[in-house]
Amino acid sequence: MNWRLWWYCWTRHAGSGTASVGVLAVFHFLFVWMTSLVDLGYLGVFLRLGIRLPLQGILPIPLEQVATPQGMISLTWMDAVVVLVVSAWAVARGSDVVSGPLDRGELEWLLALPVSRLEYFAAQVGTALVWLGKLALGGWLGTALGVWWFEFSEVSALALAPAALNLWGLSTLVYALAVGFSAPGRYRRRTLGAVAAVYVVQLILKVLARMSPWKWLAWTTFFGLFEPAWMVHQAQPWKECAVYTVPLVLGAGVLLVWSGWVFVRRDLPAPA
Amino acid sequence: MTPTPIACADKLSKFYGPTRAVEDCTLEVYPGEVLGLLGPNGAGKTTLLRLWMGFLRPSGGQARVQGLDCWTQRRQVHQRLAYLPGEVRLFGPMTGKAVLELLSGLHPRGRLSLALHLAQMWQLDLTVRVDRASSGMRQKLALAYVCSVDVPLVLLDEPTSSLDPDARAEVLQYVRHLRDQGRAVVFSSHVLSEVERVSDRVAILHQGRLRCVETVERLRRRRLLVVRLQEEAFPDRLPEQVRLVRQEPGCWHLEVPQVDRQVLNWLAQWPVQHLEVSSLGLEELYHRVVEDRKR
Repeated sequence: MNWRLWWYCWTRHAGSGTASVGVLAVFHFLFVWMTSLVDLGYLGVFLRLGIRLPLQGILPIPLEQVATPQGMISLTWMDAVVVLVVSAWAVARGSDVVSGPLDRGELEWLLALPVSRLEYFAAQVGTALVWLGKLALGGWLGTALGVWWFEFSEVSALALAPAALNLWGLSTLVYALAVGFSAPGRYRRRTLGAVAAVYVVQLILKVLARMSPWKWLAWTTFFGLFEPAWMVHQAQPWKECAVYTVPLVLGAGVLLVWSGWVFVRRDLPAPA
Repeated sequence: MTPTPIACADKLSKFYGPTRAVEDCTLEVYPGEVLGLLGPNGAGKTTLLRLWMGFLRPSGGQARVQGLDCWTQRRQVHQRLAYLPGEVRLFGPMTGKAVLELLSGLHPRGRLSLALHLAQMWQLDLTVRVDRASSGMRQKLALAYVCSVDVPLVLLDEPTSSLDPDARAEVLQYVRHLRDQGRAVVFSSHVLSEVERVSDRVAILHQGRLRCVETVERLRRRRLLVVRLQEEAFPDRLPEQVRLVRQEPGCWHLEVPQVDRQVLNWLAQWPVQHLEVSSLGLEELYHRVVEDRKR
């Protein structure tokens, strides 16, 4: 194993990775703080009066559970800020495996060295997966710190760990998708455009599946397997986590193996 | 005894759909020589170098370095060569020193101290970020690394394209130094005078095909004769070593490997009024090869 190459790939992720971990940790901490400021009893009053909120259909968990601190805090994992930061990082790094450095003229320097393409690919992907784990861990640590700091005795940070794992599963699949478009590509901007298009379509399908009567649409989008808030309220959260996260990781694995296969066999043209 | 080539292309071809970037190219590179690679834009020079690098899968034939297949044994091949791409971009956010440290550290035969020495010799400021350096500085930085690696084969794709005249002279001198160390250098360029100055052999590519391979020494010996005649006459048969380049009324342009007794005896048969003898040179050969093919 070429440790220098792994170290190079690790440091390439470090700047944006550290910033994203920081943002996620701070955001989760602030979310817990904001939860501590909300009197959840009022929400309970709404529920007892039978008033239904218009956006209830889009919520991943019943309102009765939202009215509890654990329920409210679990919603952080589906917050747009969290999903956006993690997805943006995954797409940015995934598109920078092949088409990015090829476009910039960096790849031909690295591959002119006695380094096999597979070794380079493994170093890029391996380090990125660890950084994706750090992103999810950063969010979880922010939550755990908030729970401890604001003395939520009824919330268990450990009970929220399956949500973090599910987020890691989603980010892995998004990363693999970006790598899948990057491996045969030549220009990073095209990779980004293609991934963004797929991502938006998948997201729309998820919203439709939740809000429309066509619940079966959830099967057509990988977001259907992203239910971090829901799973922590189940009787066996770790089992539900496995049921939802393992297919995400397996899908990512298949995409990454295919991408590696394409990359090893493709031509590397001179940068335009 | 014929020396063993360090790199060879054996009926090598690379097609992109109907475009034939390189076709049926057979060429050998020997240790201790500089092979100049010439050709107009799109002739296939860069494609040929990238086939040797294993960046492109050949459509036909084989590229080899020290007997290793450049496509299937890329990693082993890369232990034996260093490559300077045509357009040097390197790693934008890194400083010059960090780039030399990275590349020299990743190559088992990289020599950081020599790379730093070359950078100092070529007056490079290694504290400047690569994306803020001029194209000439980037090229010098890349050359400092490529020339420092202890490998038997060096592939240079237009190594002087962004350099000022002084830097060009220094680089050419260093290329000759590499050759004197027994290494093989493939030197692709558009600058004919440079190639003629530094190369031991030249190969001319045109429209993907190898049109001519010639040693510079033989090239220097070749002569162009402009023969003006007292009357219009047409040779029905030329001696074996004489080639008719162009014929105008009362004037022949002939190419000969050297002006010897046989050539002079043959000329004596004709009513020669005026005879000019000049060295053929690479430029004449290049234009002749390219123009002939255009016709």
